[in-house]
Amino acid sequence: MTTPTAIAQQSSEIGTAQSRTGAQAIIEALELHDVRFVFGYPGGAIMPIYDAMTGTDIKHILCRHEQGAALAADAYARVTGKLGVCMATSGPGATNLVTGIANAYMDSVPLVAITGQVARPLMGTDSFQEVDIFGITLPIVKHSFLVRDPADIPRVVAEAFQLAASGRPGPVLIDLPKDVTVATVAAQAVVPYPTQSDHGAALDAVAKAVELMQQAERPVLYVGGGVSIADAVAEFRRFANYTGFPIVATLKALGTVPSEHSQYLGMLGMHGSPAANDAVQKSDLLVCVGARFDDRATGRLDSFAPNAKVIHFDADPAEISKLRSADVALPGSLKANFQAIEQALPSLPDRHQSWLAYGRQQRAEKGWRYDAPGDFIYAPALLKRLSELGGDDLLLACDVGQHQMWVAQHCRFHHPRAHLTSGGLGTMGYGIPAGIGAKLAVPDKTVVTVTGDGSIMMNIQELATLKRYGIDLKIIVLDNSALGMVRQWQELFFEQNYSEVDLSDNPDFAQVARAFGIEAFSIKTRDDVEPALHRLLSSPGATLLHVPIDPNENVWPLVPPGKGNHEMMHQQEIA
Amino acid sequence: MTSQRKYALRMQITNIEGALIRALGLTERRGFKVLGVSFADHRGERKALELTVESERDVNVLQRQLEKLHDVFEVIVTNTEAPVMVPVAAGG
Repeated sequence: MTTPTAIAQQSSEIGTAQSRTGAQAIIEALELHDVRFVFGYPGGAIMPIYDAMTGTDIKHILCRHEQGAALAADAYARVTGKLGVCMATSGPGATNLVTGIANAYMDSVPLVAITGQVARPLMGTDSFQEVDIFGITLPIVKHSFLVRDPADIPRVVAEAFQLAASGRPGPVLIDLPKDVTVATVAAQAVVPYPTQSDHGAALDAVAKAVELMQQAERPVLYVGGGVSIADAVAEFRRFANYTGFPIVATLKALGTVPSEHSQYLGMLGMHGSPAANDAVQKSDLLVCVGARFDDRATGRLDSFAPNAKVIHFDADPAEISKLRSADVALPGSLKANFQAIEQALPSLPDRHQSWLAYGRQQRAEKGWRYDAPGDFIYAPALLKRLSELGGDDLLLACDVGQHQMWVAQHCRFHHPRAHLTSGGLGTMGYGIPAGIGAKLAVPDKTVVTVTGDGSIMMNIQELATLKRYGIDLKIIVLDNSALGMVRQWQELFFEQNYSEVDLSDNPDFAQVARAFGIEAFSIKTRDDVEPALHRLLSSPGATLLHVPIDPNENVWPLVPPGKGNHEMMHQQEIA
Repeated sequence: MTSQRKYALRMQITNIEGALIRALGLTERRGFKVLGVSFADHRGERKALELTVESERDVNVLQRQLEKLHDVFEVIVTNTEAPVMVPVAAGG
């Protein structure tokens, strides 16, 4: 990640450059910020920037829809820890970015979205392809800029990059009127953007946290995506080992500790592991680290961990006590706060051993089963095997729905950056663009997108992007001929009144892929799974594996909507 | 019955496009009804913004969320009134 100091230095360098157009100033600024890839789609108002980009070291990835561009940039950022950059023209180009921007906002991803805008004299006149993208995106950006003065471009880019990546990261929008990008930008001195300190919480809060940790009988570490975002995975692991507390993870935190870690009880929440939810519900101290008490994690909030005191670590002070009042607030740098706690906590009493043993026993007794009856290919078993075959070299991108939860439950992740999932927004259509961004970020890794027959259709046009750039992405389509998660809820909570979830008229996905020039094949039986996974993973280029699965298969266990995490439904209860 | 409280907040906002609507939009979206806005006519880099709001939610959370905005500074809760009990509509 580019450091604030480097940005400040680069800003000065920008300011000493010779006069050039606003568009050239944008491209120079991107180069100075070490932007290697820009994901985008050209159009009228942003043409000067595309003109200035030719012949530079920036690699532009032409996606086939602006949403695909934004989501690919999002995934690139998640995998690398660097900024993702996407670009689109005014009007529909800009509005097509909106879902991707919101996706980055909800999951705290550093993203810079650059949009063309109609020329300043036309703004506010409802001119062709004019929308107020600045106004449209106000609630889903960390910050935004509408650049009305070409001289502001270098400063705005430096500020945007700094803001997107600092503290709790998020998307920043830069809207550029066309006449601003063609105007001459005079050489100028740029005032460096002030850097932010990386401090932890106050010492009295640290002391109070230590006191609670020493007193607790049934403590649990509740880890969220903020740990990976803060690049603090190693520090968290050391902290977790030091405490010896049981660990539960959110969807975005999977891989923060490996699945086989002796303290790890699994994912908590709606489709979490019974052991994880049980431990949280019985805990007397919840040490929340980089998580935000999201409703999918907590279930009914007023019954979540009812007897627990809460210590809340978060880079974003506004998350602390937003939904669950914290007994001790530890805002600021996670790394600094881990260090402060460890220094102040010389040793913990040994009384947590029986509590941890209880959690392990629960995990062992209530583990997943893969001996599903019937003849259909069992998706959880296929995903588990995929994960085993891929090992630590595998990076998985998901779409949204049942398959997303099966991936979370049955795949092993060695690091949270190896699992790309749309956690907060739940964006169907994330999977293929995410796979594109990920594979470009780590070309030496095996990247597999797991998608469903509903989700793949949301951004299926990006198969053309795979073909165009020869991106070696593997795709598994788990096809239940339905919007499976919605169908499951209609079955369980809407008296089996199935409304608009039937997708039995899906196209032949293998044929569709071949039409895009992508190798593809289908399987039908359980015996086909093992050779198909080997074939998929050993194929030389982008390959799609189509897997029909049981249309009536559900994701288990499940915390019903409005219920507490102690009220999980299990498959056998309705069998 | 829900417990609504009135609060007064004072803050500085950067004198740039979008700063006011960003602060007001966040306030409403986060569950605070805006009862009054006072916005000083100021030509400097920053303007003073005063809000009177009402909500059953924690004003300190709103304060921290406003402070996160890049163009908002020095958010102070200046007044808190006693809760007003408001009947909840049937089914609400």
